[in-house]
Amino acid sequence: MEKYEKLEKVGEGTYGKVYKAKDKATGQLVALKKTRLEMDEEGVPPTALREVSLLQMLSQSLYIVRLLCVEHVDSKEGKPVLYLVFEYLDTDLKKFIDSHRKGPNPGPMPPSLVQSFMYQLCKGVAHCHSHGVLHRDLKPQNLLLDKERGILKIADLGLGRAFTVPLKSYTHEIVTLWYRAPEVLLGSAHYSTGVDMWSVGCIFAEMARRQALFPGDSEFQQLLHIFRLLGTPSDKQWPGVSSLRDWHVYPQWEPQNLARAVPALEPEGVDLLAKMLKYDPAERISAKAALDHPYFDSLDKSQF
Amino acid sequence: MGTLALDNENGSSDVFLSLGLKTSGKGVVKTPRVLSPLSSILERSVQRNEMLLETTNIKEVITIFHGLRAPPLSIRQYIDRICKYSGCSPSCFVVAQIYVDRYLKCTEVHLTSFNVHRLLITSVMLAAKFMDDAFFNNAYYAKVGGVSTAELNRLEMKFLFTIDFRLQVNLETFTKYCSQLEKEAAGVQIERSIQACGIKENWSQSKKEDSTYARTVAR
Repeated sequence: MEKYEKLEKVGEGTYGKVYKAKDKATGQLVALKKTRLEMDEEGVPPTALREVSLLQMLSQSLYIVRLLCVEHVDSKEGKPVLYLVFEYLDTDLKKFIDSHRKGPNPGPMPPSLVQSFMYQLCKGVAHCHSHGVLHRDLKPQNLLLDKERGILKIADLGLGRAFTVPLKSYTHEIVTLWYRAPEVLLGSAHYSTGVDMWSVGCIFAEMARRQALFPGDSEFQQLLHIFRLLGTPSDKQWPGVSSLRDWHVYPQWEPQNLARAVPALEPEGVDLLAKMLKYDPAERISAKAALDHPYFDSLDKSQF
Repeated sequence: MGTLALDNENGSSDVFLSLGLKTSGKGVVKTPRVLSPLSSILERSVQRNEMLLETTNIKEVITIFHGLRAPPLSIRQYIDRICKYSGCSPSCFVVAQIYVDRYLKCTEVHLTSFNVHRLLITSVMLAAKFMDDAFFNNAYYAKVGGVSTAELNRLEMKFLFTIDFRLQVNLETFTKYCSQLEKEAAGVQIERSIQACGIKENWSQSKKEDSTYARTVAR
């Protein structure tokens, strides 16, 4: 690891510390994710294992964070340590949205920037899905930004999962609560690409509002937040919803006007958002189809 | 939109059902059918390689997967044991076979009775850790596999770096392996019915040189 000069600690990842560092030979800035392996019982942490193998495959996309290499070294105490070396990006979408809400110059994000970030996000998600990978933890914190160049990249694939081959039932301990799709909250045995698209919708609304769309503090509250805005779902609009494992009888809310929840968003944007927040996962728009939505017609796509 | 790629592939879905990778509903599958053809393929490969190493000058590459002696458990018994205690998705065994092939392709190693067990426990564990949402840790797999945790951790690291962390398996590759296993399973079935008819004895006596081959297939 003498190749890198550690500059500062920039955070705690899912499985260890993250440092900003410099490649001494090239001067390139990198992010080092340090994975301790002293947890003998566990071996290589599954999150690290998934992140590395998924990124090996997905990293060629401009909209997925680039994994440069993996270094296996022994620490001074002789314990094995795994370093994941990533390209360095200076901020993430959460910090960026926060700076527009409460920074020195608060104000809405420019609509063209929201549009551009959304397009890049959909590009990245479409790339994951076309390779048979569900991200399962899309949220503003996991979207890294290059502010100068206006580039957005998806990061943190530690919860990612292959969805192409038949497997035992899926965990419901996925996705940070605020971005978790209703089928997961209601305990559906299987879920698919729709869970990521729900998260994308929540992120879209959050950029336009500068605050989270559904900020629940428990699974139950999370559902109520969703139902209050989109109406309590029925078997008619979402076949089979009332037979999902965690379905209960809920208060009956009528759907509200979605445009009022995102006043900064133009009508085409609201239409795309509505398609991302469809209750029935089979009806929810795919990332690939979203790229062709009229909302992006005014975007200069030649730059992507 | 939002549906599994699998649902559109009825053809391969049948194969998945028949290998016990998918359940058709409430039925509880005890031992997935995939284990039998998988063991046959591996056993045959081991025999072929050992024959090759015995009769030619090819030098056997010794790796950390190589034991001092071959473990007493047959491949089939070992795989059954892993399946019984790991509780992983049956698909993990197909994926593990793909991983073992990737490992062999990245090295000069031949699959033999000295390394097949360690390669199997490592690759099934990696398949479960990568694919499944619920899985046991290395310490547990070490007990199931009959190695120490420290050793399994070393095997895991070596395996990952050898295959360059390429754990993702696309549907095309998975389906290809499944149809090979399915074909093998059909062969096992035919062999069984021949045995049931009492033809097997005469047949294997008259074709002595093939008898070892026939035995592994029929097992």
